[in-house]
Amino acid sequence: MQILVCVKPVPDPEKYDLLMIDPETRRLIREGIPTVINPADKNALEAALRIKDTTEASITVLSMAPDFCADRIRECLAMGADEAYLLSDIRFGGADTYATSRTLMKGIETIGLAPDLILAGNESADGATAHVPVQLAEWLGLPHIANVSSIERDTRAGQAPGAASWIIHKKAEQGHIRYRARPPILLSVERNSNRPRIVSALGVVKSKKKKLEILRFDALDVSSDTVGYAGSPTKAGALSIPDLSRTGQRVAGTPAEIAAAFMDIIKKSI
Amino acid sequence: MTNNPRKIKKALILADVAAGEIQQSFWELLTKVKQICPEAICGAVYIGGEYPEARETLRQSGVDVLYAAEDALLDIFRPDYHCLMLETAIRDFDPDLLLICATAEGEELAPTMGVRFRTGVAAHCVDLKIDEEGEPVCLVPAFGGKVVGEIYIPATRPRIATIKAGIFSASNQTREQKTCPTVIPIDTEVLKSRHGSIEPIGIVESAPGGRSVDKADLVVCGGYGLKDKDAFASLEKLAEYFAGAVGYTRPAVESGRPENERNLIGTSGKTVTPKVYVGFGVSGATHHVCGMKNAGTVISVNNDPNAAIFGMSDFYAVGDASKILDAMTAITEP
Amino acid sequence: MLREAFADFVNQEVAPNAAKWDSEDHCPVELFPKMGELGILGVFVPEEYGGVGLGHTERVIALEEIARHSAGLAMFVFTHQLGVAALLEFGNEAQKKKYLPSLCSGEKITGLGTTEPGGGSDLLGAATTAEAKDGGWMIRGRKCFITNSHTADYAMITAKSGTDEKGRNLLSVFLIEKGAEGFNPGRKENKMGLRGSVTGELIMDHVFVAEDQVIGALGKGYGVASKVIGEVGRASMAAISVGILRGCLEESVRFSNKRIVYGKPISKLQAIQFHIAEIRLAYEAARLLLYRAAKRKDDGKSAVAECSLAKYYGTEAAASAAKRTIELMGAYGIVNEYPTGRFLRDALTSISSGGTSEIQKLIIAGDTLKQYAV
Repeated sequence: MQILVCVKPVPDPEKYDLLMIDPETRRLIREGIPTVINPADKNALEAALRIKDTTEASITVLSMAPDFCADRIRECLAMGADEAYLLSDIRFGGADTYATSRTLMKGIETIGLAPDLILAGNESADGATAHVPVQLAEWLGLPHIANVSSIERDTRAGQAPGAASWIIHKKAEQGHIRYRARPPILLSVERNSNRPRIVSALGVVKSKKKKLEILRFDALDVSSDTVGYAGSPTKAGALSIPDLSRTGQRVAGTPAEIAAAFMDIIKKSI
Repeated sequence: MTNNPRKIKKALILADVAAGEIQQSFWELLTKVKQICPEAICGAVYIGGEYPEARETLRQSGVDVLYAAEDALLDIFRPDYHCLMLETAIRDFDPDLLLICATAEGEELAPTMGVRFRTGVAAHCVDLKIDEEGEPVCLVPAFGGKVVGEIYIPATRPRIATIKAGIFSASNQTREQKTCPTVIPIDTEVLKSRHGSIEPIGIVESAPGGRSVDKADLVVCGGYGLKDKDAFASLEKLAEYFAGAVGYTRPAVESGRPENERNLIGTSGKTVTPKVYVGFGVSGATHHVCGMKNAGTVISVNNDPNAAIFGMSDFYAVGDASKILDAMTAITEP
Repeated sequence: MLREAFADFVNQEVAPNAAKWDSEDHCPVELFPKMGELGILGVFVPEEYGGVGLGHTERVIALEEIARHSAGLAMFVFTHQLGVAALLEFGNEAQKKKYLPSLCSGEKITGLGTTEPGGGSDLLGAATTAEAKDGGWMIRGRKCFITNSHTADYAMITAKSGTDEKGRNLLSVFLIEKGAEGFNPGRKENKMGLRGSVTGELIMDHVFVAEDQVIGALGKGYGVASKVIGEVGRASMAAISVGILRGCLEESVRFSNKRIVYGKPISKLQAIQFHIAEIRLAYEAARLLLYRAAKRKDDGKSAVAECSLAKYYGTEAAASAAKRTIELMGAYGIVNEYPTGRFLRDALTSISSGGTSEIQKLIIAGDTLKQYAV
């Protein structure tokens, strides 16, 4: 079984409180914020690794990111993925979800992958649109299920191993919807739906011998007006950091006094 | 300026209807459309099981056109079926603007339409307005709401935007009595001949975890600083007294104290606008604040005198959140 | 990436529990299999014996990361690695095949015990004896201040197995399996610092060990123990001190940025900045000494003097940095909700472990007098 996992390196979401906007250029200052694999993508990778733990499967990791993120992609190999491709080119920069997903599709075509399962984190921590996985499936003409919280093998009797189907739980407003799904399919995996394994020292050693190939613009069958900012139907305008400050009034005293004051405020305000 | 190509001539809203019940978010989106493009022809799409009452309410909601894909096959969300139905409605109506509520389903439908119609999608808009040139602008959060950016979709149609429930306010005036449109049915027969690879086999309802935070006038919220599980029982008591609801932050959820994450408040959860919000042991991280910043009165308790939440509060106290919470619940007891 | 992997483990499993292990003096043996799986325990052991095939540099990186939050756990881990190193460097092929895989995986725990009531660094003055008997050895004696005394499945101890032609004691290293008749842990110390690692007595009351449980050549136990303790042990103590120093650095920066006095964070005050500069300097210097020593060891060179330099400087610097951090935090520094008190206790305890500062100075001086003789 071949599994493709799409990952995105993002600025560490634990450090978003440090983000600032340059008052002159109005651009985002990300300095001092380390890059990590998007948390939900780690859950997707973990879901793939758990399948591989019990079945013959190979896992390919695909990402579109600048070269400096190669170390983060290597981390996926250290976790246990078999090979990785990084689509990296200055011309891919500024892409919205539409152009990103299309470039990923072109990458899959170029590599010549026909995965049975494509897994990706449901949303990235930075943009958080949850678009890219679903849009990638659309470009590939594959069915998709988003907000997936669990992936289990369908254990009904009489299943041919090759045509195995999956029982998928999708988080929905009312709880979970259960589906039976047949490959090939793309699943967007919920953040925190599993606990990603910690990279082992042996994993790090082995990752250095695994294939991590960088694919540039020229390697892909794309034109410059279909990638990056030029290929994006959405255009970004001004950025701002909203001012959420309120004039806080401190209430002091014993817990009982504070409690009484707060109860009064609640009663008056409701 | 009547020929301004930027002008929204037709707007379409995907009605958020859960088990025959029209959700508040539909009225919120409708109010917004009437506000930013009052002259536009406004359409709504209903996709789901057969609920004549819901369909009638939508028909009389003040929209000009109502598309309805009604079939028992659509009762449970199926990405392939629901996407096809919405696509059919869009092809027929050809809107300039498509608004979808950012539910788990909406978040899957919107990007799908983006690719199928080769157009842009703005996710989780916190505001939608028309700029000086008449171009719609979506304001979308990034980095957990720390940053807000403008998104334009200048060249492609429809412009698609998703909006979380509770972001816009609904006006009752939109439920005006006007000539009710006839319902344009969407052919569901086509679904019967499709053998997709996805088959819904059931719904696992989540345990009812108290009142939902999106409708409550008072939200009491437990953060990471609220250390023990008993404290969450106290939160329930306090909420119960005011007929309010209990919410929590992501770190609290991750520490396993609340039963489930249905009432998670923040970027990855719900956006709430209660009259009063009280945070216990909430630090004020961007992810959470984004989901409660529009509350009426904000009260917070934290033992860290430098907690960020204090700067975003109307009233605050420095102290042990559990103790103050217990003192408050004590007052509620006769 | 390796350091980040270790740090991930520490952040998830160690940092949240470090204070609890300290206050309850709990030795987290339950984490051992996990550490084995992640390759921390046998990071310097070749893959064929169940290790990772990296070196001591990687080993001390892991210890530094662990000690950043729990010096006690680092103590537990490295003492285990002392036994592993003794087997790896001096054991025969059969012993390595038999013992190393389960020690690397964390299934079994080991340690190396030399200290006796008569003293620690005076290895040859040991009173524990091994007498040849029935094709094996009968061991009698008592060891004290032995880390992993109560937790080890395989205890490695030194004992006098004979004398040379000049009448000097000859030591050998014996591996005793837990449960051997006459072998029992004795008293367990209630330590001031490095809590969470078990330190106590080992009592050998006529314990029989087989011939093949001698680690290294018979009579060459002094060389085994002094090399393993001198290099692996002291580099580890240095790594612990570097971890504590980083803890002091991070806590003092965090605190001084948050603490507002006279309307601004105290990190704006020069007096505070001087403290921070001193801690930074101590951290960087200790780190350089440590990683240079580890590199020498990995390059196959003798690193005894380099390890002594790193251990002596690092542990003393950690103690003064912990004191500085407490001073910088004012009254908060002495409150046990902050880790600073633990840093100080751990740092002070580190000074006497693996040879006091005076012992390190003797080793450094001896090496210097040789190396720099013109």
